[in-house]
Amino acid sequence: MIETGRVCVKTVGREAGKFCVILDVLKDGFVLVTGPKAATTVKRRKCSIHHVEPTPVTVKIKKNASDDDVLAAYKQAGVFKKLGIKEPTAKEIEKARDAERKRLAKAKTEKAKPEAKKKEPEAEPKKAEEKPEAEKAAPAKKEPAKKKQEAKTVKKPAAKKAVKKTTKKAEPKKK
Amino acid sequence: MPTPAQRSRSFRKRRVATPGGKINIHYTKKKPAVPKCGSCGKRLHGVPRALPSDVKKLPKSRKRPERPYGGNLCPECARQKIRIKNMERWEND
Repeated sequence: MIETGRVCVKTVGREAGKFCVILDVLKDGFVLVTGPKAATTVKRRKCSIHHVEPTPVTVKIKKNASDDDVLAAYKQAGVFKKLGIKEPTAKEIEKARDAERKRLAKAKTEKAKPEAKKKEPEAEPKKAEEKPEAEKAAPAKKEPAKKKQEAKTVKKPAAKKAVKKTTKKAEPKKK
Repeated sequence: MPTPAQRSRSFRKRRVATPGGKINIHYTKKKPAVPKCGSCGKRLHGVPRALPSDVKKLPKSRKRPERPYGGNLCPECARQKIRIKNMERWEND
């Protein structure tokens, strides 16, 4: 039942009860999965087979297909009607794309930093080995729980967010 | 003597040692029951055990786990329920 193109329901976590598609079957009982986020709010992520429940619906997609390809395949196969999901508007799709772009940019900056740190501390070889592996698995998730030195860099985007919030609040008042 | 309002079983007596060496009795409101799973009765995590007036002040995300059936069913029972619902949905196909 578990193969690329199989539509599933997530049973665990905040995405529980939501639909997703299997993009690739990985090692050790893991699976690459996406909603896509614009359609069902399920992120593109690795996930255990035990956290996924298959449905009889399938879609024709390639291995590791992009979210746009998946959305197109959904349209062709009429999956939105079958699952009872709303088709995402162009705005929603673009929003998801923007978020993905930001996530990738953040992951890049983080990957560059731990490599520089590796050379400095030789006393902690075990920790240095563990951290990059964890980042590969979930680069977006582990951002907040970073080391103290990186906290300085993390503060900057937080400040930007605060500015954005204030602007958002100010806009509706003008209207 | 406690005030008449405090002469109730919904109050708990707390013994408090004063600086003068006396032991005074303070009356505090009892906590509500522990939140439990609706189907198996297991204790629920992530749900505050506080008075309703205090729970009201919390943000929504701190009142219950952000998952379907969060705060009502334990994760295992919720998983089962989602699975059964999914199976029932496709039975006729």
